[in-house]
Amino acid sequence: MLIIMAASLAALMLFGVGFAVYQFEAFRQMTQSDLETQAEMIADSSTAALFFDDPGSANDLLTILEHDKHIRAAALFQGTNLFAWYPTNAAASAFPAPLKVVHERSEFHWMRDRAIQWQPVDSGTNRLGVFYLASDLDALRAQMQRGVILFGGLLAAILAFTIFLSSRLQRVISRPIFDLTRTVQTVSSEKNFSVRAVKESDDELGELVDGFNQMIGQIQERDGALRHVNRELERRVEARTRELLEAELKFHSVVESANEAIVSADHRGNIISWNRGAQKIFGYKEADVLGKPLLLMVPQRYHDPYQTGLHKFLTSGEASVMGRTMELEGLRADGTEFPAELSLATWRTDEGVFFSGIIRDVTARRQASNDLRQQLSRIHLLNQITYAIADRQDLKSIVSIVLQQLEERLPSDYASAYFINEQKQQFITMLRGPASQPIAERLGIPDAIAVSETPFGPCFGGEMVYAPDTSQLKAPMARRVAAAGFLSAIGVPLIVEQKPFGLLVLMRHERDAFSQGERDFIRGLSAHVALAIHQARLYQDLQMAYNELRESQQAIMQQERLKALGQMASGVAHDINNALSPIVGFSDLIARTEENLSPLARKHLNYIKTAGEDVAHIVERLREFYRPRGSRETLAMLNLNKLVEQAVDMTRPRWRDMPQSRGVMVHLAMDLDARIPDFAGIEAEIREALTNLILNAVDAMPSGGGITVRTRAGEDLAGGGVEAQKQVIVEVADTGIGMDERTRRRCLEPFFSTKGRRGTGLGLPMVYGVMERHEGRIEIESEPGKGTTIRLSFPIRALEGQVGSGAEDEASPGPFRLLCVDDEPAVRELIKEMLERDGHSIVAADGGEAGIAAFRAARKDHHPFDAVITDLGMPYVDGREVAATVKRESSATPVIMLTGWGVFMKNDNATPVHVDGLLSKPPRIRDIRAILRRVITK
Amino acid sequence: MALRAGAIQAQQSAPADYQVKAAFLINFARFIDWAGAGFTNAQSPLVIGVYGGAPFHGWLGRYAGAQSIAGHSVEVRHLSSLSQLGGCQIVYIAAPEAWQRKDAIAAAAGSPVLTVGDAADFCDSGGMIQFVIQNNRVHFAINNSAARRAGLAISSQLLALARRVKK
Repeated sequence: MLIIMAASLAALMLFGVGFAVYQFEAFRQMTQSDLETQAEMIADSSTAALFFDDPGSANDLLTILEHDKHIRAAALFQGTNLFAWYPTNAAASAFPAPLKVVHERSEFHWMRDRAIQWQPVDSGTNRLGVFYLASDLDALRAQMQRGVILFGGLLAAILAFTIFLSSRLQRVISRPIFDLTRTVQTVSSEKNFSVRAVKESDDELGELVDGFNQMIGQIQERDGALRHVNRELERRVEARTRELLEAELKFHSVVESANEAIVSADHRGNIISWNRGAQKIFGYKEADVLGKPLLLMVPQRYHDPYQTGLHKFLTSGEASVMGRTMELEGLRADGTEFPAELSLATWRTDEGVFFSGIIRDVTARRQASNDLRQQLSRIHLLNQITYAIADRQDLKSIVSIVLQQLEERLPSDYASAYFINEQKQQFITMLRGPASQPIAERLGIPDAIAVSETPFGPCFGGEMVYAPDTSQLKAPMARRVAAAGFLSAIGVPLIVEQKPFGLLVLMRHERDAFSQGERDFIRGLSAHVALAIHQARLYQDLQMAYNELRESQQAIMQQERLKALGQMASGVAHDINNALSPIVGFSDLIARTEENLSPLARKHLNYIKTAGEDVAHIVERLREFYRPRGSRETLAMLNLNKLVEQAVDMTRPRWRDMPQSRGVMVHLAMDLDARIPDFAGIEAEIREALTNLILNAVDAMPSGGGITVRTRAGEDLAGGGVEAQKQVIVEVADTGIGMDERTRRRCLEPFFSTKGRRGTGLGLPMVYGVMERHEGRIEIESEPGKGTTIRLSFPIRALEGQVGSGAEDEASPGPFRLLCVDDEPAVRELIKEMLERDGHSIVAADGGEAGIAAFRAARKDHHPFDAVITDLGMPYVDGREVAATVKRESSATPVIMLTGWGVFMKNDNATPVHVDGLLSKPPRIRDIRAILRRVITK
Repeated sequence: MALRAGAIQAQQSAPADYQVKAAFLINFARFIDWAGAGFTNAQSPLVIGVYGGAPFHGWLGRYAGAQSIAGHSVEVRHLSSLSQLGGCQIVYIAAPEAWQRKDAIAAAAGSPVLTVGDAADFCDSGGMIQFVIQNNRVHFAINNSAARRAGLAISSQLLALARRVKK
């Protein structure tokens, strides 16, 4: 209470001082402003006195100040000269001199005992003078004195009132608090919660008492409840202890009956419990191991990590192994190891940390799981190989992928595949795995290995051979690989349709490294691989057959078309030849028989004959591309290189000189194989064909380029024969404009030309005809812009009993008796004349029927013909029928068929067996003589 | 600069008195309120007319040239006839003859023109401010009723300085 009083007093004092300061300051302000106002008023009123220089009236003005007893002095200065002053009786020297500079503005100064105001006196902008006014501070002092007295009185009154008031209030507030305190002391010292404090009023104190009483009440209740709970707890502890004992017994029985090892250890890792399972698994008795470190259950190599782990757990409480099952190796009393599964738990008591572990012997399970894993990986491998095989169709890539997979996935250190060559008793390397190839090269293993050098002989019989230790084998190849560090090897035959065709060899560095399971797998795999290889081969064969079929189909189509064209051409030729025969024949005849002709007539006759022969020649050319080798052409053994050289020489003006004159360069290179064999052929035709090809090549290069003529020996594989047909091949390749597909297909057709007016369209068809007659092949490779390569392949054939070699002479055989049948009178007459000139006797018939009649008549007269010459195409009874009749009736009588299109007889299968010789139109004496000599001699 | 009578205190002779009078004459203007009736506008000069003589010997013109009273410059005119009174704010009536003075005062009466003179009966004859010499110093008397009649207000300070004031 005293503190409150003192604080209030201090506050009041502070207030008082603050008030006094405020009062003093306010009064000073007032004094200053009063003084300023007074000075200003008097200064204003004194301007006129100063203007009109009237100090008297100025003094009068100052006398007003008598009314203010605090004004001690006043003075008016004109400039700096004293002009008027107050009080009047004061000496002029008692006033301070004004400072001109200082008093520019009104100024107020506090002195120790007075306040001074300097006031300038102005009129408009003119400074007339300065007014000085001084006041004492008595008023201020008086005011302050009054304030102090008033405040002191007030303070005393407040103090008295406060003391009175607080003494009254204390009685109301303090007493109940004292009461409450006493009650609290009672409760706390006696622990008697039944006492209550007395409530005296309804104010805050009353509420406090109520609250206190309530609290005491609650504590009383709690106390009772607590005692109850305590009793309950004791009862429960008793029951729990009993249960615990039971559980302990149960646990013990479980532990002892378990098949697993259940082991506990203290924080040092020393064994404190060891069940029967542990005894069974590890082979130690409980008495032997109690107190010993757990380490004895673990192989030596795990001791360090075990110690580290234990230490880490004990120091940091961290353990990666707690609460989960892990697999490790266990160590039995007899020193053997076994795979074990451990689950570890830990618990803490006041005595420290304890561990308990359950250990299971998982030997059997791990074995099973390993087997399963291996099986799975093999199935996976098989799967992959199968898929890989399924994606491929050629043998090489199938085997390659199989070997690669076997190397990487089985795995094996060496993998290779071989073909079996039964005749030579050899293994021929098919392929080696990508990793094995360098090994084979390093070891110098040959591509073909004699079976006797290997231990794989039994594979010929379809057996698999496993060599668990190659160093024990005698076979040289086995010793070689053993020396290189491949100690186990396996060879498995690849069998299709009970017949081994190949061998798969796998090797590993370790001894006996292929388990039974792997061997079974490899055997199974080999069946898959063999099947796949077989399929691939079949597929390849099929593909080849298909290709051949397509090519031959195209060739046949080509041939058909050419044949049709040929027929047409031959038809035309037949008619022309018929028409030409008399022209050429008779002019020939006249020239030979009529010796008396004038020189001019002979000259004209020669013109006619030459012109006719020219026409015949053109028709000949037209037929050229499709006619069989005629009797007139002589086969000779030819050297293709020589023909090429000749053709190149003959065409030199065309491929070198003519382009050069246009400023274009054509290079011609020959690449001739000197070893090519000679072959039978018609020299002139082949030379012409080559010439044609070279000229075509030149034409294909209007802006220059290169021609390569290449010869070589070859084998015709597509020929289909068992024995490959030996061939000589000539290629004419250019770098010219090339042909598109359509042109390439049609270029062999007669009259098909891309050269415009320069070309006859007969060049390539002629080449084709030549090749046909030589039973050779023409191949054309061309691409627009890239150039064309034309390849001619001639089969190599020796000369077979060549008939009618060039020994024929102009001498006429005979004389013979001949029957000549032709419906064309001109031809019939021509032949008759020709033959009669040679001394033969001729019977001419104008048709088939007439011919047969003449033939029969002659036989009847026993004067038969030596030979029958008949035209082929005749109305009613044609040449075939005539021939057949003649042969039927007299098989010995030779029949010579005269035809404009005798060409087709052979190919049409229509060649009558009855015909002994063919004579084409227009017939020439030389030809007739030759054929007569041949058929009749026979 | 302001003109102070004290500067010419030592002058005893009549011409010296006129130098003081010239300064007074201009200073009077500072304490007279023409109540807006005297000037045509704010820039027009305060015109002091001298009628009936030229007693200032140029002093008046000299002082006037340097003065500015409430924003007006001061101009001195010598009036040759009474008809010229109308443009002046202050007229010094120097005429030697009483009837001339009377005529001049009468001419100024009714218009806001301060009439000043130094004749002994100037205030009694209706003039407004009359110079008097006492103890060799120039003083003045004021006829405030004449001024009020003409609509002029004379400052109480000036009245307080006057030796005699006719109410």
